[in-house]
Amino acid sequence: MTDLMVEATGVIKDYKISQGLFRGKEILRAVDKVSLSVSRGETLAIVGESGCGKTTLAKIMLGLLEPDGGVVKLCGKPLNEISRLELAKLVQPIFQDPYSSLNPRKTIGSIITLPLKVQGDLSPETWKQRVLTTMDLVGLPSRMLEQFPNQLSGGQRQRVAIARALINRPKIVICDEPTSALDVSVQSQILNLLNELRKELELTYVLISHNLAVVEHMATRVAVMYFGKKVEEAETEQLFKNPKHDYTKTLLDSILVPDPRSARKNN
Amino acid sequence: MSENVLDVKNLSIEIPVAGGMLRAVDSISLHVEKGETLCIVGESGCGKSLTSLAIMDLLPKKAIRKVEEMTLGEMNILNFSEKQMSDVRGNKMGMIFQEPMSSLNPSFTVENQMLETLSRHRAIVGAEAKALVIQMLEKVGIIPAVKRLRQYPHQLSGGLRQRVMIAMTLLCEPQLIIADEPTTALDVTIQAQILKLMKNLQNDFDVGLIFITHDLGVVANIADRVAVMYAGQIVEEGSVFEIFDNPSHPYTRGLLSCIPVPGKIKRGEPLGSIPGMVPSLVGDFSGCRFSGRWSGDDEQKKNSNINLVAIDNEENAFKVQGSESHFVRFCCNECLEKSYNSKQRKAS
Repeated sequence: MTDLMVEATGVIKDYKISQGLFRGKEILRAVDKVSLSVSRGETLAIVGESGCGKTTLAKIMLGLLEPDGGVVKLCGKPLNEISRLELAKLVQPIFQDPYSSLNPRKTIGSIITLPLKVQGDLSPETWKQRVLTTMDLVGLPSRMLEQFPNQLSGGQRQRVAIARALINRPKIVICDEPTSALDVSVQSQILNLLNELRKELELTYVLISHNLAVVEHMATRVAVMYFGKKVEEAETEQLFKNPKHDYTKTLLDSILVPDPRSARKNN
Repeated sequence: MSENVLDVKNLSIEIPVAGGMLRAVDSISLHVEKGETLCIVGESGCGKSLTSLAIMDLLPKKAIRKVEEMTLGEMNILNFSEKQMSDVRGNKMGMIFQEPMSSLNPSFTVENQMLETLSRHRAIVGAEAKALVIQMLEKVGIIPAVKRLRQYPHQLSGGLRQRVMIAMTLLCEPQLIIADEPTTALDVTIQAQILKLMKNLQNDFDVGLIFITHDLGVVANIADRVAVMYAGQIVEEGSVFEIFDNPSHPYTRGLLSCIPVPGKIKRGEPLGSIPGMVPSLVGDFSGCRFSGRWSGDDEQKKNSNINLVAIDNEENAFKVQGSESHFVRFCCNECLEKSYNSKQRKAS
């Protein structure tokens, strides 16, 4: 049995671009009939250059944007039939920049508690305990409960963002470039954490990244997007060994291998 | 004997902040040879960008620069006045920054900005200057160049803008180019193109290049020599092969184990990591810069077959035995003891 957690069929998103005061609007198709499916426990990576529509697609899957065509189903239910509160329990985002995704005037404790409040969770007396458990899960010491985001390092902030995403125990987590704003040593900590959490909480990830080494390490399947279209999708090993589409080949050729010998051979 | 285009000895930078002095860069020395690429690697806040700004004399006003010796080619630029330095910058010393949109002037065309460089530094104007500009744009792969001359920076893509920046830097045929994360803001495919272009042009122009980056993949591709910076100090320095084959400082080892390499670590297996955080360098910092950052595997690596030879007059600084250009420096005795036993260390 395969549980389809995310199922997108023929998703289209158009943006109207103003050409000037008296001219008509031009239509930019940001996402062009993209179909994807992600089963339980999988990590699907979406790669592509900036502006190819990968973040737009993520926003559609999160229910933050209305698609102009096509259907997105989460756990078998069409997205527009799921209420917003229910949706938030199902799918949560982790964004790129932990410096802008956390409210600077709230303490870490209240940032992580907010999803519980919004959900109208019925047992407020358990909130603090649950926040502490989640903080422990993502490796944040409990003394940070009363601190503010500006007192934390980039890696710790990203851990707060992860804790906030996980406190309601979602089934799907959409990570939009979760480590590209971080240093390499912090990146490895966060990637390790995401991998541990996936096993422990049986999460399904959609990972958006332009770092192919990260994708190779994390993803089970990869979808390549180019100018709004999905041009290739394959198991990670397959794709890295035997890329079919020309753009995928170019992309793989531009990986900079951290090995001076093989790097020099290619030049 | 190769000649050095840049020589910096004992550069320190201190910045007054609330709570004391921030010792951002702590007596580092570096040199770049003609036609050589020196990569400075390190994580954010380790002082790599400040080092480059200090060389160009573009530090923020509050920062205090102390340096024993600084020469560019034949010139001793240590005590140059502001006016003298502005004759050097953009002329003998070129700069390429991370975000080309913010280094180009948005209200002038490509042609205007490039012509200005030529008239300012080399007093070339008119048709001759224009021909040079076109020639240089074509060298950096902007073909046809004439079409781009009258465009404004916002009409160019990120990759093209960076190419224009490179062309502009090369116009005055500098001896040294300092590139601070020039490809970080670009897509991977464009990044590969720009790196290749820079490497080729460097060979053509035989210019010294300081390349600042945090991406070890980029380092492996472009560097001849590498300086690894950590918490304001250069902890290890050597040829690119020495650094990648024989990392001798625990920080370099940690950095190399952190990056996912396709085919090296199995999917889902944990990557190596450097635990903890960089210590705050405010005030009279005298403790160990690396405490709390040891990962579990460091102890096992103690028994590696690397031997160190002490360098005279420098505390905790060593040369790796069997190599003339590979140096490693520890912040304190404790760090050293943890990484190498006494048998592995020799007096000079």
